[in-house]
Amino acid sequence: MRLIWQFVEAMRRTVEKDDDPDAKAASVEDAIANALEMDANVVLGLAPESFAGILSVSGTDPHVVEYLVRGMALESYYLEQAGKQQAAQLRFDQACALAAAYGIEAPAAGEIPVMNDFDEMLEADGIAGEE
Amino acid sequence: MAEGIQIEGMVFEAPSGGSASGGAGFAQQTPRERVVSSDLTEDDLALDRSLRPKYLDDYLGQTRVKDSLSILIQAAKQRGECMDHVLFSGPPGLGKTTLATVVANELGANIRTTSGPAIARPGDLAAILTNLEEGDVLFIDEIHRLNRQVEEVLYPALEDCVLDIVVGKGPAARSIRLDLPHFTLIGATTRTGLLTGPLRDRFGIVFRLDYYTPEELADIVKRSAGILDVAVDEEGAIEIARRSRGTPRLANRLLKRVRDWAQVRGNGDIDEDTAAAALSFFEVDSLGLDGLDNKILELLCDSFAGRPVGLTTLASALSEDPGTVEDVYEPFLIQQGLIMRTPKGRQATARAFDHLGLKMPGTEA
Repeated sequence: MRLIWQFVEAMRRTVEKDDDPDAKAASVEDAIANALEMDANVVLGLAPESFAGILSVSGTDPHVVEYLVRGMALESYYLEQAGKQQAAQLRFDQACALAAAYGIEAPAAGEIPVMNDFDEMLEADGIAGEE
Repeated sequence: MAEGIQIEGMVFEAPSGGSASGGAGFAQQTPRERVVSSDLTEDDLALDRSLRPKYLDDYLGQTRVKDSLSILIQAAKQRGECMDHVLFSGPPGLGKTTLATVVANELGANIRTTSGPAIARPGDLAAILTNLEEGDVLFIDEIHRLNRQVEEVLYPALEDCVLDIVVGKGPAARSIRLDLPHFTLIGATTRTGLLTGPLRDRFGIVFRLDYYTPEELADIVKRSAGILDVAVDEEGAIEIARRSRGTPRLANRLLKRVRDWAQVRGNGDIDEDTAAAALSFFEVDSLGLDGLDNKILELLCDSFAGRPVGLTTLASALSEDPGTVEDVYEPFLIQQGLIMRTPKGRQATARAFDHLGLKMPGTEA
């Protein structure tokens, strides 16, 4: 729960910060890397199916995965804004592959996750308002 | 004020004073702009696409390497396995990238090309490796420039076709192995000495490419001339080959320059006289030396009267960086036996004096 809370707070700081898209993407990626609890340097470079496979095999909590999927879609948006189309596409494809592997709703193309989405997920998980 | 004329990747600087053959007014070409540089230029890339051989039969020269590769490729194909990982080393412009493409074509495999500096993070390599297909050839140019972290990811991929990923943190950390498709890594390096021991040891096949002989280069010039639809006779091809520093990339580049000259000043055909006149015009002499090479020889033979000269002194006299002199200009001059390194510094040899038509100090008249 604490991991999820920290992740969402990191998203909130990123969204509210007055940074350029590149810095925002880096900030979201840091949060994802922390939440992954694995060698993010390598894992975030994997082909989408391999990425999803590794997370499944490692037993990553399905609750955490839901947040990761939204976070990755958000990072993909920032990367696209920063002109890094290839990296943006990879991150989006990884998010979709991960969603498919865990049987959760995949992010829709062109739909940008907002803080409300994360807050609603927190509320649904009963961890809203945790400090 | 000196003015420069630019012709397709070359700059000729007008002398600012003094004689045309030496001294302060000697026409200088920076390493980046030298017509005899073996570094890859934009012009070469365009040329490469049309001139690069695709199969071993089209590949001229490097007979020993070709023969060995032919056997290794056939054996791998007969067994239906990937070929062992291959390392090509040697000076720039000798065809390492071309050979990698040839190997992939002969194996009937896709080739994925990248370079050491382009793989900055382990994730970059993970992306490449997990996107390979069974039997693919992965070509990494300048492999000596891979960073250590990336190398660590590469080792298990080369040995067991797996990617090790650490999951969890602290005492709970464990490793998960991700299976990769079987692939052949072809590495190319100009600096074998900079490869780490563990990486070098993981290549089952290592080839060092040698400089080409003038005869081999002449064959390459004739083949390229055929593709470019330029008429060149045997003597013309040999003349270009002799001045190409043993390097096919340079031979092809000089062929294009000579073609340009022959088109404007001659009838478009290339014979010995045309090639010689064109290359002299572009300041490439009979040994393939350009203005700056000759200036080094003149400094050592004439200004310093044949005495040994320290690298820094020589570099100052040339208004160049010592590292550039050592890495860019000196190797070919040493290889040609024109200068030598002594404990006291760089010294011109008898051949250098001969080349400049000067008398070596201490010799009989």
